[in-house]
Amino acid sequence: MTKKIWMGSALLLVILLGAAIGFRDQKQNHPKKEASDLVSQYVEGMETPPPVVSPSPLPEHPAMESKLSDEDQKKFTILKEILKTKNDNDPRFDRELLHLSPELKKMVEHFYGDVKPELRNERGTVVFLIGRDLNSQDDVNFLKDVMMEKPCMSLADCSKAETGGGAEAHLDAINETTANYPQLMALRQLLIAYQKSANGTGQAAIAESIAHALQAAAHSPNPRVAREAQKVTH
Amino acid sequence: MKYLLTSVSVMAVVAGLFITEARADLQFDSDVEPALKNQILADLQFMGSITSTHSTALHQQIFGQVNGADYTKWFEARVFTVGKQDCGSSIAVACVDPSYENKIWMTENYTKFDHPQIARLSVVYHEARHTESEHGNWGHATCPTPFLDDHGNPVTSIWTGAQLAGEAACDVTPFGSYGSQTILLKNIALNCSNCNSKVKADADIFATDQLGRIIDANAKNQMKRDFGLAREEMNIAI
Repeated sequence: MTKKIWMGSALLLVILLGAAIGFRDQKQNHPKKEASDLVSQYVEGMETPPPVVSPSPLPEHPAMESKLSDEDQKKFTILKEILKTKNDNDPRFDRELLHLSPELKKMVEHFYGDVKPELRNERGTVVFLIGRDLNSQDDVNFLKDVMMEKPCMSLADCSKAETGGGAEAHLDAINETTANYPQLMALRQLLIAYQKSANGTGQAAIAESIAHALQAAAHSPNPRVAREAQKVTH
Repeated sequence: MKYLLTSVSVMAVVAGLFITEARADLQFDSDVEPALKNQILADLQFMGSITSTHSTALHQQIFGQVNGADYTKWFEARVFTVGKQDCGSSIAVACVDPSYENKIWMTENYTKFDHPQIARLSVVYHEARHTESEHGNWGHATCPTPFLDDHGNPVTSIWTGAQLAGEAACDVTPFGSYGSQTILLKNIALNCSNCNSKVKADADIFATDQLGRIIDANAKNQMKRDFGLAREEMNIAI
Protein backbone atom coordinates (compact mmCIF):
# COMPACT_ATOMS: atom_id res chain seq x y z
CA MET A 1 0.00 0.00 0.00
CA THR A 2 2.77 2.41 0.96
CA LYS A 3 4.57 1.61 -2.25
CA LYS A 4 1.48 2.36 -4.25
CA ILE A 5 1.09 5.73 -2.54
CA TRP A 6 4.67 6.64 -3.33
CA MET A 7 4.33 5.56 -6.94
CA GLY A 8 1.06 7.42 -7.34
CA SER A 9 2.45 10.60 -5.83
CA ALA A 10 5.58 10.45 -7.96
CA LEU A 11 3.58 9.85 -11.11
CA LEU A 12 1.28 12.73 -10.26
CA LEU A 13 4.24 15.03 -9.74
CA VAL A 14 5.75 14.03 -13.07
CA ILE A 15 2.47 14.67 -14.83
CA LEU A 16 2.10 18.06 -13.16
CA LEU A 17 5.64 19.05 -14.13
CA GLY A 18 5.08 18.00 -17.69
CA ALA A 19 1.86 19.96 -17.83
CA ALA A 20 3.58 23.02 -16.43
CA ILE A 21 6.26 22.83 -19.09
CA GLY A 22 3.69 22.42 -21.82
CA PHE A 23 1.66 25.34 -20.50
CA ARG A 24 4.76 27.49 -20.31
CA ASP A 25 5.67 26.66 -23.88
CA GLN A 26 2.31 27.78 -25.12
CA LYS A 27 2.20 31.00 -23.12
CA GLN A 28 5.72 32.24 -23.25
CA ASN A 29 7.07 34.65 -25.79
CA HIS A 30 10.18 33.37 -27.51
CA PRO A 31 12.31 36.44 -27.66
CA LYS A 32 15.36 34.44 -28.70
CA LYS A 33 13.46 33.02 -31.65
CA GLU A 34 12.14 36.47 -32.51
CA ALA A 35 15.63 37.90 -32.36
CA SER A 36 17.09 35.15 -34.56
CA ASP A 37 14.35 35.56 -37.12
CA LEU A 38 14.97 39.27 -37.22
CA VAL A 39 18.74 38.87 -37.37
CA SER A 40 18.38 36.79 -40.49
CA GLN A 41 16.50 39.66 -42.09
CA TYR A 42 18.96 42.30 -40.95
CA VAL A 43 21.65 41.64 -43.50
CA GLU A 44 24.02 44.41 -44.32
CA GLY A 45 21.33 46.96 -43.62
CA MET A 46 19.02 45.67 -46.34
CA GLU A 47 16.27 45.40 -43.75
CA THR A 48 15.92 47.46 -40.63
CA PRO A 49 14.86 46.04 -37.29
CA PRO A 50 11.36 46.71 -36.01
CA PRO A 51 11.13 50.47 -35.67
CA VAL A 52 11.14 51.81 -32.14
CA VAL A 53 9.54 55.17 -32.51
CA SER A 54 11.08 58.01 -30.57
CA PRO A 55 8.78 59.05 -27.71
CA SER A 56 9.44 62.74 -28.39
CA PRO A 57 8.25 63.97 -31.78
CA LEU A 58 10.93 65.62 -33.85
CA PRO A 59 10.35 69.18 -35.06
CA GLU A 60 9.08 69.68 -38.59
CA HIS A 61 10.05 72.56 -40.85
CA PRO A 62 8.00 72.11 -44.02
CA ALA A 63 8.53 75.66 -45.24
CA MET A 64 12.31 75.48 -44.88
CA GLU A 65 12.47 71.95 -46.24
CA SER A 66 10.57 72.88 -49.38
CA LYS A 67 13.34 75.32 -50.30
CA LEU A 68 15.94 72.54 -50.33
CA SER A 69 16.91 70.78 -53.51
CA ASP A 70 15.29 67.40 -54.14
CA GLU A 71 18.49 65.64 -53.20
CA ASP A 72 18.82 67.60 -49.96
CA GLN A 73 15.19 66.99 -49.07
CA LYS A 74 15.72 63.30 -49.57
CA LYS A 75 18.79 63.33 -47.32
CA PHE A 76 17.01 65.30 -44.63
CA THR A 77 14.07 62.89 -44.73
CA ILE A 78 16.47 59.98 -44.35
CA LEU A 79 18.05 61.62 -41.32
CA LYS A 80 14.69 62.11 -39.64
CA GLU A 81 13.67 58.52 -40.42
CA ILE A 82 16.83 57.17 -38.84
CA LEU A 83 16.44 59.31 -35.74
CA LYS A 84 12.86 58.17 -35.27
CA THR A 85 13.77 54.48 -35.39
CA LYS A 86 16.55 54.84 -32.79
CA ASN A 87 18.62 52.48 -34.94
CA ASP A 88 21.97 54.22 -34.83
CA ASN A 89 23.63 51.62 -37.05
CA ASP A 90 21.62 52.49 -40.12
CA PRO A 91 24.00 52.09 -43.09
CA ARG A 92 22.55 55.18 -44.74
CA PHE A 93 24.69 57.28 -42.40
CA ASP A 94 27.72 56.23 -44.44
CA ARG A 95 25.95 56.07 -47.77
CA GLU A 96 23.32 58.73 -48.35
CA LEU A 97 24.25 61.19 -45.57
CA LEU A 98 27.59 62.21 -46.98
CA HIS A 99 28.75 65.40 -48.68
CA LEU A 100 26.13 67.65 -47.20
CA SER A 101 25.51 70.84 -49.12
CA PRO A 102 25.80 74.21 -47.31
CA GLU A 103 22.03 74.58 -47.58
CA LEU A 104 21.39 71.19 -46.04
CA LYS A 105 23.87 71.91 -43.26
CA LYS A 106 21.93 75.09 -42.46
CA MET A 107 18.72 73.05 -42.37
CA VAL A 108 20.27 70.44 -40.10
CA GLU A 109 21.76 73.07 -37.79
CA HIS A 110 18.36 74.72 -37.54
CA PHE A 111 16.91 71.31 -36.71
CA TYR A 112 19.52 70.97 -33.94
CA GLY A 113 18.36 74.20 -32.36
CA ASP A 114 14.73 73.17 -32.51
CA VAL A 115 15.16 69.66 -31.15
CA LYS A 116 14.45 69.40 -27.43
CA PRO A 117 17.73 69.70 -25.51
CA GLU A 118 17.01 66.37 -23.77
CA LEU A 119 17.29 64.58 -27.11
CA ARG A 120 21.03 64.23 -26.70
CA ASN A 121 21.46 61.47 -29.28
CA GLU A 122 19.63 63.47 -31.93
CA ARG A 123 21.71 66.55 -31.23
CA GLY A 124 24.93 64.56 -31.10
CA THR A 125 24.05 62.93 -34.40
CA VAL A 126 23.71 66.32 -36.07
CA VAL A 127 27.08 67.33 -34.64
CA PHE A 128 28.57 64.10 -35.95
CA LEU A 129 27.29 64.77 -39.46
CA ILE A 130 28.42 68.41 -39.62
CA GLY A 131 31.76 67.52 -38.06
CA ARG A 132 32.38 64.68 -40.48
CA ASP A 133 31.81 67.06 -43.36
CA LEU A 134 33.72 69.97 -41.87
CA ASN A 135 34.89 72.27 -44.66
CA SER A 136 33.94 75.86 -43.85
CA GLN A 137 34.16 78.54 -41.21
CA ASP A 138 30.40 78.18 -40.71
CA ASP A 139 30.89 74.51 -39.84
CA VAL A 140 33.59 75.34 -37.29
CA ASN A 141 31.41 78.08 -35.80
CA PHE A 142 28.52 75.67 -35.34
CA LEU A 143 30.67 73.14 -33.51
CA LYS A 144 32.19 75.87 -31.39
CA ASP A 145 28.72 77.09 -30.44
CA VAL A 146 27.80 73.55 -29.42
CA MET A 147 30.84 73.32 -27.17
CA MET A 148 30.02 76.66 -25.59
CA GLU A 149 26.48 75.62 -24.58
CA LYS A 150 25.59 75.47 -20.92
CA PRO A 151 25.67 71.91 -19.60
CA CYS A 152 22.57 69.75 -19.74
CA MET A 153 21.98 69.20 -16.04
CA SER A 154 19.96 65.97 -16.27
CA LEU A 155 18.72 63.67 -18.98
CA ALA A 156 15.15 64.04 -17.74
CA ASP A 157 15.26 67.84 -17.90
CA CYS A 158 18.37 69.68 -19.02
CA SER A 159 17.35 72.78 -17.08
CA LYS A 160 17.16 71.01 -13.73
CA ALA A 161 20.06 69.52 -11.85
CA GLU A 162 19.98 65.91 -10.75
CA THR A 163 19.40 65.52 -7.05
CA GLY A 164 21.07 62.18 -6.57
CA GLY A 165 24.01 61.85 -4.25
CA GLY A 166 27.45 60.38 -4.65
CA ALA A 167 26.12 56.95 -3.74
CA GLU A 168 24.45 56.85 -7.12
CA ALA A 169 27.72 57.43 -8.91
CA HIS A 170 27.80 53.81 -9.99
CA LEU A 171 24.31 53.91 -11.38
CA ASP A 172 24.72 57.09 -13.37
CA ALA A 173 27.82 55.82 -15.17
CA ILE A 174 27.01 56.78 -18.74
CA ASN A 175 24.38 59.40 -18.01
CA GLU A 176 26.77 62.29 -17.71
CA THR A 177 28.59 61.27 -20.87
CA THR A 178 25.31 61.25 -22.72
CA ALA A 179 24.40 64.64 -21.30
CA ASN A 180 27.68 65.94 -22.74
CA TYR A 181 27.49 63.81 -25.86
CA PRO A 182 26.89 66.61 -28.42
CA GLN A 183 29.79 68.57 -26.93
CA LEU A 184 32.13 65.59 -26.74
CA MET A 185 31.25 64.73 -30.34
CA ALA A 186 31.97 68.34 -31.39
CA LEU A 187 35.32 68.23 -29.65
CA ARG A 188 36.15 64.89 -31.25
CA GLN A 189 35.19 65.95 -34.75
CA LEU A 190 37.18 69.17 -34.46
CA LEU A 191 40.24 67.28 -33.25
CA ILE A 192 39.98 64.83 -36.12
CA ALA A 193 39.60 67.66 -38.62
CA TYR A 194 42.57 69.46 -37.09
CA GLN A 195 44.74 66.34 -37.28
CA LYS A 196 43.77 65.88 -40.92
CA SER A 197 44.69 69.47 -41.72
CA ALA A 198 48.00 69.03 -39.89
CA ASN A 199 48.95 65.95 -41.92
CA GLY A 200 47.82 67.43 -45.20
CA THR A 201 44.72 65.32 -45.74
CA GLY A 202 42.16 67.85 -44.53
CA GLN A 203 41.14 71.44 -44.88
CA ALA A 204 44.28 73.45 -44.14
CA ALA A 205 42.42 76.73 -44.61
CA ILE A 206 40.31 76.21 -41.53
CA ALA A 207 42.99 74.69 -39.29
CA GLU A 208 43.53 78.01 -37.56
CA SER A 209 39.79 78.42 -37.01
CA ILE A 210 39.63 74.97 -35.48
CA ALA A 211 42.49 75.83 -33.13
CA HIS A 212 40.68 79.01 -32.05
CA ALA A 213 37.47 77.05 -31.48
CA LEU A 214 39.26 74.53 -29.28
CA GLN A 215 40.93 77.31 -27.31
CA ALA A 216 37.54 78.94 -26.81
CA ALA A 217 36.12 75.59 -25.62
CA ALA A 218 38.76 75.55 -22.89
CA HIS A 219 36.64 78.29 -21.30
CA SER A 220 33.28 76.66 -21.95
CA PRO A 221 30.59 77.13 -19.28
CA ASN A 222 30.36 73.34 -19.37
CA PRO A 223 33.05 72.21 -16.91
CA ARG A 224 33.45 68.84 -18.60
CA VAL A 225 33.98 70.42 -22.00
CA ALA A 226 36.40 72.96 -20.59
CA ARG A 227 38.39 70.21 -18.91
CA GLU A 228 38.58 68.09 -22.07
CA ALA A 229 39.47 71.07 -24.25
CA GLN A 230 42.21 72.12 -21.84
CA LYS A 231 43.76 68.67 -22.15
CA VAL A 232 44.26 69.12 -25.87
CA THR A 233 45.12 72.81 -25.98
CA HIS A 234 47.69 73.00 -23.20
CA MET B 1 12.54 2.19 -1.73
CA LYS B 2 13.40 1.25 -5.30
CA TYR B 3 10.19 2.83 -6.52
CA LEU B 4 10.98 6.02 -4.58
CA LEU B 5 14.44 6.29 -6.06
CA THR B 6 13.11 5.67 -9.54
CA SER B 7 10.44 8.31 -9.14
CA VAL B 8 12.89 10.86 -7.81
CA SER B 9 15.23 10.15 -10.73
CA VAL B 10 12.45 10.68 -13.23
CA MET B 11 11.46 13.92 -11.55
CA ALA B 12 15.05 15.09 -11.57
CA VAL B 13 15.39 14.40 -15.28
CA VAL B 14 12.19 16.24 -16.06
CA ALA B 15 13.18 19.14 -13.82
CA GLY B 16 16.54 19.25 -15.56
CA LEU B 17 14.82 19.56 -18.91
CA PHE B 18 12.70 22.35 -17.50
CA ILE B 19 15.76 24.26 -16.29
CA THR B 20 17.59 23.75 -19.58
CA GLU B 21 14.65 25.06 -21.47
CA ALA B 22 14.44 28.11 -19.20
CA ARG B 23 18.04 29.01 -20.10
CA ALA B 24 17.35 28.93 -23.83
CA ASP B 25 14.96 31.91 -23.97
CA LEU B 26 15.24 35.38 -22.53
CA GLN B 27 12.28 35.93 -20.28
CA PHE B 28 10.66 39.25 -19.51
CA ASP B 29 8.66 39.90 -16.38
CA SER B 30 5.06 40.79 -17.08
CA ASP B 31 5.59 44.39 -15.91
CA VAL B 32 8.15 45.12 -18.63
CA GLU B 33 6.19 47.29 -21.02
CA PRO B 34 6.14 46.37 -24.71
CA ALA B 35 8.05 49.51 -25.70
CA LEU B 36 10.84 48.74 -23.24
CA LYS B 37 10.94 45.08 -24.25
CA ASN B 38 11.03 45.96 -27.96
CA GLN B 39 13.87 48.41 -27.42
CA ILE B 40 15.89 45.82 -25.51
CA LEU B 41 15.27 43.20 -28.17
CA ALA B 42 16.13 45.61 -30.98
CA ASP B 43 19.34 46.58 -29.23
CA LEU B 44 20.29 42.94 -28.58
CA GLN B 45 19.52 42.16 -32.18
CA PHE B 46 21.98 44.82 -33.24
CA MET B 47 24.63 43.27 -30.99
CA GLY B 48 23.78 39.90 -32.49
CA SER B 49 24.49 41.21 -35.98
CA ILE B 50 27.96 42.61 -35.36
CA THR B 51 30.82 41.27 -37.46
CA SER B 52 34.54 41.90 -37.44
CA THR B 53 37.84 40.40 -38.48
CA HIS B 54 39.82 41.28 -35.37
CA SER B 55 39.45 41.26 -31.62
CA THR B 56 41.92 42.40 -29.00
CA ALA B 57 43.38 39.87 -26.59
CA LEU B 58 41.42 41.13 -23.58
CA HIS B 59 38.21 41.05 -25.58
CA GLN B 60 38.86 37.46 -26.54
CA GLN B 61 39.46 36.58 -22.91
CA ILE B 62 36.17 38.08 -21.81
CA PHE B 63 33.74 37.84 -24.73
CA GLY B 64 35.45 35.87 -27.47
CA GLN B 65 35.45 37.43 -30.92
CA VAL B 66 33.91 40.76 -31.84
CA ASN B 67 30.88 39.22 -33.42
CA GLY B 68 27.22 38.80 -32.79
CA ALA B 69 27.31 35.08 -32.14
CA ASP B 70 29.84 35.42 -29.33
CA TYR B 71 28.10 38.47 -27.86
CA THR B 72 24.75 36.70 -27.89
CA LYS B 73 26.16 33.50 -26.42
CA TRP B 74 27.95 35.48 -23.69
CA PHE B 75 24.84 37.40 -22.80
CA GLU B 76 22.49 34.42 -22.86
CA ALA B 77 24.80 32.46 -20.58
CA ARG B 78 24.40 35.16 -17.95
CA VAL B 79 20.99 36.75 -18.30
CA PHE B 80 17.87 34.61 -18.32
CA THR B 81 15.34 37.15 -17.18
CA VAL B 82 14.74 40.87 -17.54
CA GLY B 83 12.67 42.65 -14.96
CA LYS B 84 11.70 46.25 -14.35
CA GLN B 85 12.25 48.37 -11.29
CA ASP B 86 13.69 51.77 -10.43
CA CYS B 87 16.90 50.34 -8.97
CA GLY B 88 16.46 52.67 -6.02
CA SER B 89 17.46 55.72 -8.04
CA SER B 90 15.84 58.26 -10.32
CA ILE B 91 18.87 58.23 -12.60
CA ALA B 92 19.61 54.52 -12.92
CA VAL B 93 19.29 52.82 -16.29
CA ALA B 94 19.72 49.23 -15.15
CA CYS B 95 20.93 47.22 -12.20
CA VAL B 96 21.48 43.74 -10.81
CA ASP B 97 20.37 42.31 -7.49
CA PRO B 98 22.61 39.32 -6.66
CA SER B 99 19.76 37.67 -4.79
CA TYR B 100 18.08 37.19 -8.18
CA GLU B 101 20.37 34.99 -10.17
CA ASN B 102 20.81 35.56 -13.88
CA LYS B 103 18.49 38.53 -13.89
CA ILE B 104 18.96 42.16 -14.80
CA TRP B 105 16.55 44.92 -13.99
CA MET B 106 15.84 47.75 -16.38
CA THR B 107 14.36 51.08 -15.42
CA GLU B 108 12.14 53.31 -17.50
CA ASN B 109 15.24 55.39 -18.17
CA TYR B 110 16.47 52.80 -20.64
CA THR B 111 14.05 54.29 -23.15
CA LYS B 112 13.32 57.61 -21.46
CA PHE B 113 16.93 58.81 -21.46
CA ASP B 114 18.19 59.48 -24.94
CA HIS B 115 21.44 57.52 -24.94
CA PRO B 116 23.18 56.56 -28.16
CA GLN B 117 22.34 52.93 -28.90
CA ILE B 118 25.79 51.49 -28.31
CA ALA B 119 26.01 53.29 -24.97
CA ARG B 120 22.68 51.76 -23.93
CA LEU B 121 23.90 48.33 -24.93
CA SER B 122 27.14 48.75 -23.03
CA VAL B 123 25.11 49.30 -19.86
CA VAL B 124 23.24 46.05 -20.47
CA TYR B 125 26.51 44.18 -20.86
CA HIS B 126 27.96 45.96 -17.82
CA GLU B 127 25.07 44.72 -15.73
CA ALA B 128 25.23 41.24 -17.26
CA ARG B 129 28.80 41.03 -15.98
CA HIS B 130 27.46 41.71 -12.48
CA THR B 131 25.37 38.52 -12.64
CA GLU B 132 28.51 36.39 -12.37
CA SER B 133 28.11 35.20 -8.81
CA GLU B 134 31.10 32.88 -9.23
CA HIS B 135 33.24 36.04 -9.43
CA GLY B 136 31.59 37.81 -6.53
CA ASN B 137 29.38 39.64 -9.05
CA TRP B 138 32.45 41.73 -9.93
CA GLY B 139 31.80 44.22 -7.17
CA HIS B 140 33.22 47.67 -7.78
CA ALA B 141 36.21 49.19 -6.09
CA THR B 142 36.04 52.35 -4.06
CA CYS B 143 37.24 55.33 -6.04
CA PRO B 144 40.33 56.79 -4.39
CA THR B 145 40.54 59.98 -2.40
CA PRO B 146 41.44 62.23 -4.09
CA PHE B 147 40.15 60.83 -7.37
CA LEU B 148 42.08 62.52 -10.14
CA ASP B 149 42.10 62.01 -13.87
CA ASP B 150 45.23 61.56 -15.98
CA HIS B 151 45.81 65.30 -15.85
CA GLY B 152 45.46 65.66 -12.13
CA ASN B 153 41.95 67.13 -12.20
CA PRO B 154 39.36 65.89 -9.66
CA VAL B 155 36.79 63.58 -11.19
CA THR B 156 33.44 64.97 -10.15
CA SER B 157 29.87 64.74 -11.20
CA ILE B 158 28.81 68.07 -12.61
CA TRP B 159 25.25 67.18 -11.87
CA THR B 160 25.29 66.23 -8.25
CA GLY B 161 28.38 68.19 -7.41
CA ALA B 162 29.48 65.06 -5.66
CA GLN B 163 32.95 63.80 -6.11
CA LEU B 164 33.34 60.19 -7.06
CA ALA B 165 36.12 59.86 -4.50
CA GLY B 166 35.14 57.34 -1.84
CA GLU B 167 32.24 55.89 -3.83
CA ALA B 168 31.96 52.30 -5.11
CA ALA B 169 32.10 53.46 -8.69
CA CYS B 170 35.50 52.31 -9.94
CA ASP B 171 37.29 49.12 -10.96
CA VAL B 172 40.85 47.89 -10.34
CA THR B 173 40.82 45.20 -13.00
CA PRO B 174 40.19 45.08 -16.74
CA PHE B 175 37.79 42.22 -16.14
CA GLY B 176 35.16 43.87 -13.96
CA SER B 177 32.02 45.52 -15.24
CA TYR B 178 33.59 48.88 -16.10
CA GLY B 179 36.63 47.18 -17.58
CA SER B 180 34.70 44.71 -19.69
CA GLN B 181 32.32 47.47 -20.76
CA THR B 182 35.25 49.60 -21.88
CA ILE B 183 36.88 46.70 -23.70
CA LEU B 184 33.60 45.92 -25.45
CA LEU B 185 33.14 49.52 -26.55
CA LYS B 186 36.71 50.03 -27.66
CA ASN B 187 36.69 46.85 -29.72
CA ILE B 188 33.51 47.90 -31.45
CA ALA B 189 35.08 51.28 -32.15
CA LEU B 190 38.24 49.73 -33.53
CA ASN B 191 37.12 46.49 -35.10
CA CYS B 192 33.44 46.33 -35.96
CA SER B 193 33.17 45.73 -39.70
CA ASN B 194 29.50 46.47 -40.14
CA CYS B 195 29.08 49.34 -37.72
CA ASN B 196 28.68 52.73 -39.32
CA SER B 197 30.94 55.66 -38.49
CA LYS B 198 28.50 57.16 -36.05
CA VAL B 199 28.29 53.99 -33.95
CA LYS B 200 32.06 53.60 -33.96
CA ALA B 201 32.51 57.23 -32.92
CA ASP B 202 29.98 56.74 -30.13
CA ALA B 203 31.69 53.59 -28.95
CA ASP B 204 35.00 55.44 -28.84
CA ILE B 205 33.61 58.38 -26.90
CA PHE B 206 31.98 56.19 -24.28
CA ALA B 207 34.96 53.82 -24.08
CA THR B 208 37.28 56.71 -23.34
CA ASP B 209 34.93 57.89 -20.66
CA GLN B 210 34.52 54.51 -18.99
CA LEU B 211 38.29 53.97 -18.99
CA GLY B 212 38.38 56.77 -16.47
CA ARG B 213 36.77 54.45 -13.94
CA ILE B 214 39.76 52.08 -14.00
CA ILE B 215 41.85 53.29 -11.12
CA ASP B 216 44.63 50.74 -11.07
CA ALA B 217 47.52 52.00 -13.21
CA ASN B 218 48.60 48.51 -14.27
CA ALA B 219 45.07 47.57 -15.27
CA LYS B 220 44.63 50.79 -17.23
CA ASN B 221 47.96 50.41 -18.99
CA GLN B 222 47.14 46.81 -19.82
CA MET B 223 43.93 47.96 -21.43
CA LYS B 224 45.63 50.77 -23.34
CA ARG B 225 48.22 48.34 -24.67
CA ASP B 226 45.44 45.96 -25.59
CA PHE B 227 43.79 48.73 -27.60
CA GLY B 228 47.12 49.52 -29.27
CA LEU B 229 46.95 53.13 -28.16
CA ALA B 230 49.51 55.38 -26.54
CA ARG B 231 48.42 57.66 -23.72
CA GLU B 232 48.43 60.68 -26.04
CA GLU B 233 46.21 58.89 -28.52
CA MET B 234 43.69 58.02 -25.83
CA ASN B 235 43.37 61.71 -24.98
CA ILE B 236 42.96 62.73 -28.61
CA ALA B 237 40.42 59.96 -29.20
CA ILE B 238 37.78 61.85 -27.17
